[in-house]
Amino acid sequence: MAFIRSRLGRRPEGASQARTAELRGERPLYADLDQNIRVLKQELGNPADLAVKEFLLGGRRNLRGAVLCLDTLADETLVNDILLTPLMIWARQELGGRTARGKLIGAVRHSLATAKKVKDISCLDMLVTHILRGDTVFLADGVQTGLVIETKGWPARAVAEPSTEVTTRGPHLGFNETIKDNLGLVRLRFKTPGLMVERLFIGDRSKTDVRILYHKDLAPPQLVAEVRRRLRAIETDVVLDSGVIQNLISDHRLSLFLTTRSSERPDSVVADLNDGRVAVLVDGTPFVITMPNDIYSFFASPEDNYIGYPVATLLRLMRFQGFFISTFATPFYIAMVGFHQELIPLPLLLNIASTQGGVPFPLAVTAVLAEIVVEVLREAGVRLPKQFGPAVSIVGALVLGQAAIQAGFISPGLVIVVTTATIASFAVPRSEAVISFRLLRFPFLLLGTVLGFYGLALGMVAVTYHVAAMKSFGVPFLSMYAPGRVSELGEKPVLLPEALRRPVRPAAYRDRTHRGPLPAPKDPNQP
Amino acid sequence: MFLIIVLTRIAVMADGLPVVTVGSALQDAWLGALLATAASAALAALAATLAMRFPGKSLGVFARETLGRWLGLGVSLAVALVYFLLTLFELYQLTTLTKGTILPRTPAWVFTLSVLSVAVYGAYLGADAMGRAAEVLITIVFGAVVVGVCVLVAAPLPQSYSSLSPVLERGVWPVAEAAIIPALWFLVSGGTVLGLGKFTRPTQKLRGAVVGAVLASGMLLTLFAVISTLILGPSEARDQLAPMLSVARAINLPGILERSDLLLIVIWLLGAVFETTIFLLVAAIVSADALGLNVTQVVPILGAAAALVVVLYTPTVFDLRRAAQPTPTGLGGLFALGGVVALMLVVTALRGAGRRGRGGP
Amino acid sequence: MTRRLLPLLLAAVLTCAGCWDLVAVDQLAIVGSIGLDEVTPGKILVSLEIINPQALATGTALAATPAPISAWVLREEADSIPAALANIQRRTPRSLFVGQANTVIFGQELAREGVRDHLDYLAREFFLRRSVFVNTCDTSAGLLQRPFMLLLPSLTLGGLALHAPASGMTSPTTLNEFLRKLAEPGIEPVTTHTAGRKTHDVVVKLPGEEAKQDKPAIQREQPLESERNIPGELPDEHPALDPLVQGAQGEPLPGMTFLVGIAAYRGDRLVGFLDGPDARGYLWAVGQLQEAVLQVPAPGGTPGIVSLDVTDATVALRCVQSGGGLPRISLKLRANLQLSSAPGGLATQNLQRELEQAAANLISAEVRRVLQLVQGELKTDIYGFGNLIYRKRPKVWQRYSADWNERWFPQLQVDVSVTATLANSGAVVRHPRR
Repeated sequence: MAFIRSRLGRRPEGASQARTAELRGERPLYADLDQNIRVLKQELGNPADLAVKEFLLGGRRNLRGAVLCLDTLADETLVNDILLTPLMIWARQELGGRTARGKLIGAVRHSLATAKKVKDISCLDMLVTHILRGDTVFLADGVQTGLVIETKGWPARAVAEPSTEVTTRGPHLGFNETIKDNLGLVRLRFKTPGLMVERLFIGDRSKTDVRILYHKDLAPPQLVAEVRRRLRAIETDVVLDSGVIQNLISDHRLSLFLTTRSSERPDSVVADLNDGRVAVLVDGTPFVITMPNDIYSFFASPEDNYIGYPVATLLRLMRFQGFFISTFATPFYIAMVGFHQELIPLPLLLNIASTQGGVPFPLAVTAVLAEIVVEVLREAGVRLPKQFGPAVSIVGALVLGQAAIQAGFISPGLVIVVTTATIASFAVPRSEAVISFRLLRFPFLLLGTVLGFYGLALGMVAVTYHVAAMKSFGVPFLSMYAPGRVSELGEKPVLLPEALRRPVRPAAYRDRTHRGPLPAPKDPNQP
Repeated sequence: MFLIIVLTRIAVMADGLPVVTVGSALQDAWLGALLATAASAALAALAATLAMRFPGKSLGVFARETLGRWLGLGVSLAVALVYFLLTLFELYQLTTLTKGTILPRTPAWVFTLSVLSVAVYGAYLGADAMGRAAEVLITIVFGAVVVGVCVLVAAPLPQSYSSLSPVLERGVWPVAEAAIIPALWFLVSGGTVLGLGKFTRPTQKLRGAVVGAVLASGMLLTLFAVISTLILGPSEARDQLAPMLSVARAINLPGILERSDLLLIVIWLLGAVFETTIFLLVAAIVSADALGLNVTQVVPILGAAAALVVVLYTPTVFDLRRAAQPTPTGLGGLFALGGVVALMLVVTALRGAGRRGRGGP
Repeated sequence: MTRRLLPLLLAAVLTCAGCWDLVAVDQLAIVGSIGLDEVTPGKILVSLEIINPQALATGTALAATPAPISAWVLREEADSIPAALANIQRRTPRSLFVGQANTVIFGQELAREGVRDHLDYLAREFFLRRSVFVNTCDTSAGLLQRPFMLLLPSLTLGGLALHAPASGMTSPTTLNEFLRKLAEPGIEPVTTHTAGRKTHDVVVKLPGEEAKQDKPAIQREQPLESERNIPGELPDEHPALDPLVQGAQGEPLPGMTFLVGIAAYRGDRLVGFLDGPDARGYLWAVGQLQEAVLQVPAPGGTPGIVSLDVTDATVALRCVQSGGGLPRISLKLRANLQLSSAPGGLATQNLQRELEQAAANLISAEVRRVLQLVQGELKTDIYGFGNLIYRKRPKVWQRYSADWNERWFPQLQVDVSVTATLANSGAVVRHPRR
């Protein structure tokens, strides 16, 4: 560093750009091409995939130029087609005669009309950043300005069906890992000039490309500002997935309920944008975050709007039930069998009593064990290579369960309840919510074991309090539910036919005049 | 939002109140319930009017503004104390009922402390959160009430509706007497407006909301009184610890619902825990405003105080019954609370008139 | 941070504390029915039917062979029910659980002495349902015996109660009703009167079935030799402890449980029974009769009997004040009838009015006769006429309330009027002529 700075004094007089860059405290380019190349190589640690091609501009001896790129990130055919070919051959006419060095860069830029994006850069650090992003840098000898040409092109997965939010009806198209493709998928479905796209880079080392998307008339400005503020406040080294950002900008980091939602489906992201939400696209992951989130979104599937309203309503209610069953079935069973035997119909009670009779452990212990085993089985099922999956599930679920019952380790009733609860948990369409809802059942299990229904009711109140107090970017987490509005009822638990539904936007973000401004944002770094 | 806060209060009546109502009025209990509703709706409207005069402020602030510094402080601390005592009463009530019925072997402190911690948690989260929580809870509670009524209709019970016809055996007084305690409870519920009113946005609707809430909960109380009179008979209902629980014990749909206790326990527990929370919250808001503190600072202090009291002293069922006697407690409470509100209204009105008089040409 | 620590704290407290009321379900001795008798004066003999879950459990994995004992009957005598239960618990290796009991049986002797003290326990015990059926019988031993058709005495009693209305001779009574009537002024409680009889019905056995029958399904408790000499031990030959009847081959025959009628109480004391037609006479008057069979001589000179089914009957009671004295009660009964069988050759459609009249007369005679019986002999206002007066004329009631059952109720004038409507004739409108 020191030696570069010491040389700054000796640089030849150059373009004004370089001077302004210097004034901003950035390192300007040198006039000497070799020196520039050397410094860049040094900055990048002279990696093996750094391609440096020196050539004569337009074949003229006195105009030396070079392109630099990482051949792993930049599309080499693209570099050849749009950069080298024009510069070496076609630039001949353009540069015919004697072009002043000061006008050289402008002239080169004109000859690069086929390139996607071309930018003048005179700052060394920016060049490094661009090279690391897969862009190609053009430098000419004796000029203190370089050109950055977008030539990103690396292996990417084709756009495919999303693996998490599977629907039977609706587009079978999911995001992939390339932010450009993802943005395109959104634009394709949201062709409005109102769609704003802001760009920023997060991660000190990863420099991940992140875009903030919103509709300028629909999304409340406070919300956008808050999202921007929180994203900018992130201090982290590497962002590998939107999940990292999700965790870092969350309002309640210790809560089981996520205050942002993530989706792999362009249609659901567009629906969110149209509701006035803000979406955040992160490069390198197919999961797009939208916010603010509310509890209701856990139970809504994009499919609901594509199928008939009676069926959709039924399905939504089913998902609510799925949540309740998965959270409460086992604790309820334990409370019932352990505390409130008078509430069980006699034949069932006798059945439970006789089967529980031979089991060596108390009911609560077997219940917790069974829950853990089921969780482990599920987790193992996810990790297993696809070829083994079914076999292991069969062995795990069928054989193990059957053997456990026959050996008298566990009562059949409990197995029924635990497996029902596990299966029911998958009725919740958002996979990220599934896991957190399943975690919720363990505290309830404890409460049900210690205090029966009393404990369950108490736990229910406490969870309700917690959820009621939660806010997602200033919007109450329960906003779709409470404060309840008749106008929104048609979109909430029941889904009215299209004709009866008014186009409503969640009121909590819509009529801000009525509810007053969104509360002052909380610093996410402070608990 | 506010309507709901008051509405949830209903659930507590599921158990506590019919006892008191049926107590002295026998089969005329439902008349008493109606009377209580009407009376307390009027008083609650009064309280709401007062709260509407000072949008965005709680009793702790406007008592000082109307009654002067020291008297105002005294009044608001007294009101805060009342609500604090109510929190304790609610805790004890819950404990006695739970211990007396579903969980007889569990020590009392488990109930008091667990409910208290949930209440402190809720109060700490503040009024807005509680408003939203109320909407969720009320859905569950109303769902349970609806199912309960369905069960009641489906249950093969010999119901003699004739036992509902008014007798007025000893004149109107027992009915009025029976109405006192429920009226006090309604008033106390409606009176939370003094503390919570400052969190409601459209202040104009406050009075309607409070009166509506009291009326709605009054209707439900009437329904409960009718049900327990019908099924247990007036004389039996009087002697029950929790008439509705006894009703639940008497209902049996073989094979489907062995006992309907579960529904009632859900209604009652959810409601009672919520009520405790609200009382604690009101006590905290009023005292915090009176002393110029932050509510979140006061809640843990009040919670700790309540925990201390609860650990040191556990009353018996009979103590609680005695404390809820209509004549000294009920009447006294009614007059005291109603009096304070009325007094402040009068003072406000006088001041307003005076200011207008002076400001005129 | 406090906000986040609170739930954790709560969880910690709960975990440290333990599970006080948790009872493992297999540790329960599930009581099916409770028998209360008096053998030694001043003491109460509590019999509990304890269900063996193994015997009734369904599901293939559980079918135990050989069929185990389906229930045990345990008895103890003590000063009060709780004390007796404690005594029983002393020898029960599981926790007694009354939450599933569906029947309480009062032995006659106990009932005549008064049941108030024992009812108090039944009302206070939260886990006992208020919907349990209350039966009165000679001794509970008659009912807690090897049941007929069903596996458990309690199931039998519950089933009988459920279907009792179809007999038209009795009506099931729940504890809740009993307590309610006991507490109300001017009305006295009744219960079902049930009898357990040892039948000597021929048990049809299939070949090979004998091997299964070698063990009694319900095991009578035999006092241990060492316990025989404990002072206060029950005499072996008391009817409340009736041993199983031995059949000709020395094997027990199933007992038979009957619904006999109504047991009438004055206050908490049993004063008498209204059995068979008497019970019906009472049930008419209180509007509890849902089904009954009436038999009237065929009108129009045709020989034979016409059977009429009562499909529903409603009662309207009115309190008629005459001067300042004891009011009169007007009882108006409307019954809907259905023709269920008529002698051949009877052209019923022409005789509708006559049949209706005959039925109405029959009903009103029955009601009057039983009313006379209750007023004259039992002297207990099980009809609730006093309660009607109390509600309609509270001032008047105050004058009569003190000595109602003994003095005023027997003098009460009740005007009975019955209207019967023959609304239905079954699937046949007119009987085919021969």
